[in-house]
Amino acid sequence: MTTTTPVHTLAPGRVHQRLIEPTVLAQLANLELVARSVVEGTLVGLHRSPTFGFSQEFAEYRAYMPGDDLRYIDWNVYARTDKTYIKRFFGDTNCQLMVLIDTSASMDPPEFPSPGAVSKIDYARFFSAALVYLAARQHDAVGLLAFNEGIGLYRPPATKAATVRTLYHELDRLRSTGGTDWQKALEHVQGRLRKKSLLVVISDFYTEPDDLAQVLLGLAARGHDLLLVHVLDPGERQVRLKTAATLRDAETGEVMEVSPDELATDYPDRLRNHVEALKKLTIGMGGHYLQVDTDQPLDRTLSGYLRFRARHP
Amino acid sequence: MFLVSATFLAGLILLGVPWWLHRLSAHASEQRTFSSLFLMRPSEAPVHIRRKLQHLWLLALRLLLLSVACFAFAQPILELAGSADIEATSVPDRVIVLDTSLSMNRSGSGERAFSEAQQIARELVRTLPPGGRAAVVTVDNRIELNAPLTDDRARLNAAISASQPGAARLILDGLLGRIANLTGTLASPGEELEVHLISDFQATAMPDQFNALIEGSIWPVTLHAVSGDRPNWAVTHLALRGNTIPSKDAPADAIVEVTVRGYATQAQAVDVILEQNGTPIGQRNVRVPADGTTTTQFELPPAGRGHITWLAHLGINDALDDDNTRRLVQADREQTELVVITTKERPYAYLRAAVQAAATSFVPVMKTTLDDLTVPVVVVADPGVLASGTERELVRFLETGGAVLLIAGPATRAAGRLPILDVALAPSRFDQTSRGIVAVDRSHPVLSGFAAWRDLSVFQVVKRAEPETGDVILALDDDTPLLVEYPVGAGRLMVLTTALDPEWSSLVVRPAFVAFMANLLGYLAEDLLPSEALVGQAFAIPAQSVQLIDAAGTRVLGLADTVGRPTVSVATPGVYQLRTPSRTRPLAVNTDLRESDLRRAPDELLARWQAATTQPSRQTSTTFTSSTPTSTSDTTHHQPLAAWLLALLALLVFAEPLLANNGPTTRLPREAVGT
Repeated sequence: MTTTTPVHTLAPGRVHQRLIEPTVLAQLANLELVARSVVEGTLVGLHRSPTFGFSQEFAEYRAYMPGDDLRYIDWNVYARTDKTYIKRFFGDTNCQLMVLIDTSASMDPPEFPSPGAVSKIDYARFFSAALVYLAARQHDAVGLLAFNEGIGLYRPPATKAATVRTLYHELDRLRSTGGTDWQKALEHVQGRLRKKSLLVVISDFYTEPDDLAQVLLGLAARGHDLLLVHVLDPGERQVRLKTAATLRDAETGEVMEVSPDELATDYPDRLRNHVEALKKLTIGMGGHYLQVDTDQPLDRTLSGYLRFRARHP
Repeated sequence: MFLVSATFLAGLILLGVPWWLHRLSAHASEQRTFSSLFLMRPSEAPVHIRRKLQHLWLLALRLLLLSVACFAFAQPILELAGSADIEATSVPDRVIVLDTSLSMNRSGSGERAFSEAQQIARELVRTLPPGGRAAVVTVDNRIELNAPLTDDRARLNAAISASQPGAARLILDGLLGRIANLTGTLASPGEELEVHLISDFQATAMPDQFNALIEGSIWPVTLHAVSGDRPNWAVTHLALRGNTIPSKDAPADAIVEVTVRGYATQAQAVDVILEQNGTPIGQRNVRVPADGTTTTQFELPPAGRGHITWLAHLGINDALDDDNTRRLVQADREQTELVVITTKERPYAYLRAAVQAAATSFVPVMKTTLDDLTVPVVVVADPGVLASGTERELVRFLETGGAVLLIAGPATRAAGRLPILDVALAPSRFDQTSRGIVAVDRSHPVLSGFAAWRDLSVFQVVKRAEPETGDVILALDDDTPLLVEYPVGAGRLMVLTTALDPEWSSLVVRPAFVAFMANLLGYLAEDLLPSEALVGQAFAIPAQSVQLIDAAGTRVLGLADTVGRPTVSVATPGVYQLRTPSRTRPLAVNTDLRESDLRRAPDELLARWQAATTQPSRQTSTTFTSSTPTSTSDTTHHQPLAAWLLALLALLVFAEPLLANNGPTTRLPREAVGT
């Protein structure tokens, strides 16, 4: 594939070049490089958390005061100066992240993506890779479930570097096909996750919110934090037809004749109501909802995720 | 002829021909693939709809024609049941579930709540229809089948009478799912069950979300609530503050704090008695406000060394007795000698600094030989220099229940052999590339409190020439073992494959090293044994073998529960003794305070629960029908259908050309549609 964008525009640490178009990322063959570009680019410029903790990243020295934990006295300094100081560190997180990717046929219909966007499955793969990279960077356990009408892939959460590298390869191999069985996918996760986890569900959510609520409730009831990432192609938000056409459902094969007037007037309202219903459902379960378009820079999507994490440490 | 006959199946393949032809017709129209038609609505253009319907009718007719032809030549026979056949019905069996949690032991107005529950259960048995069956199940933190499905009423009543409330807690969250799992093994396929849950339905047992109450329910459930709220007092808190062992620097200033709470009570004065190792040492009369809490303090005389057991109990006759006493174990903090066998000052200095900074009870002593086998833990730093006599002593020490921590070093690597285990080491060289650390066994007590090993780097390790045989707790990110545990005789051997030296790893210069060593030495010395637990609550014992002895001296653990860092739970409150090969420590087991609040959940919630479980999805009826399934008649009539099918076939052959020639209209150009 011919690339027209110089590679140096992806170098991390360049704040003014942070927002990277998904189509540019799609030109990179290495998914890990995509993830690193997105994550490092997003983190640059963010303010560091003011929360101090006793993890591994050194922040500052402070004189020992009665009541401080004796374990954090730096005895090397004490040996040299005969004064007691304690070391303070930036707080880190240690949670378990489970990424669920919908790989049904609707995630990559043949006549998409729209110009300037990537396919929904590619966007989901990039975003998942960024989450995996971010989790590995924070030493969080991360796992992956790819599903359509069955369970295509399941990797339980792990922190080992080799396992994380395997996840990039697995993500690289994901292809969209078949229908969607939410119940099977979420019951699969529910039966295997014993520890409370952060579940990031990436899909186009073409399903009844009430049906989805029934399966998500079980996960929310077990204390898992939910983040629903609703991926839409710009061409799905505004379907433009000059004349009536026959549309075929990518998953079910159902055929329907539609008129351009209806698509211009009623369809956007139904889509908006659907998005609102999903948002209400998610918030009602204490989760978080993130709607993204596939032409939206991944950095921005990741920032949304980080805001969610800030509220759900 | 059977329906699986090859000729019949081949005939059915013909059904694909019209289907394929009609699909060809459909392909003629232009289609675009869209992600989902979920939010789409069909166009109201009438010409398309009419043409499509006519095609479908024609397709249906052709498919029917071919199907009838296939079935007609298969010469089917219809098997009709005799006239005596009536609808078979089954009797739903009853599953009687008795709540045996602590709160059911409440008394008041002269009768125990559990006696009332037993009366309800017996009434359910008495009202069984003739031939009806029932099972008796008890639930608290566990679920047990006391009598399987049977129509033997004497056996059912005996099981009800034998059931008694314990001291554990009942959680209603997911209870119906657990009952469904148990009853799933009782009922045969097709049998119907109905569950009768008899409980006090404490408000404190209710889950946060209503869905958790009905989750997993597959049978109709009838809720039977026993008598309502009773006032109850309980000791909710017993804590020791200050110093009980006087020294030159710190005089004894210990205080015992006792908190008493009344649940749904009026204001009342209550006697609080405090016991130390079974001897009453103080009594207070405190006034507990209505439905409130009060705290009183006892000043204590200096105590001797050793473990001390404290008991606070109330001198009151209230609804529950078990929660009127609370127990506390004060563990002995006597300092213990930590023998460090090494000839090098550097690893000893790091180890001593960590032990002192962690404020453990260990006093490190540097030695070159092992002359005292009574110490709990021996640390050997760089064991390549061990004399053969010392190595034999260490093996003997381990086999008699001791614990040894081997820390690698340059001499170990030079010797090419790991002492005690007597295994060869693989040749290794200094590697400038540092390795990260990965926790392999996160549940191991040594790693308790360590979430991440970020920024820790290991530069050098010693590695076994043969594959690892011990339990790897920590490893490098290339899977090289870093911390390995081996059972040796009755004791435990831990091997740290890197040295306490910044040139070998950054571990010793990181704050995590202090807590890591404290955990590691505490685990080896079995200082991490728990000192308190709740009835019915599972807790882990970080020791390789353990015995739990109750106040009467009886062992309460089965053989399988005593080895390999077991997770155990205790059924009754009291002070127990935890015995490991090298330690004995008392364990205070108290009741769960949520059982002390005897107030029932709101009636509206129980009514909603009852309504939600009356008709679960799998059920169609909750009432008894007849006592036994009615037998079906064995008289059947065989009616040949071939003649009827051939007549239908002739009719369809006549209708098909009529519909095909007159029905479908010519397809209009696509651009003309909907415009």
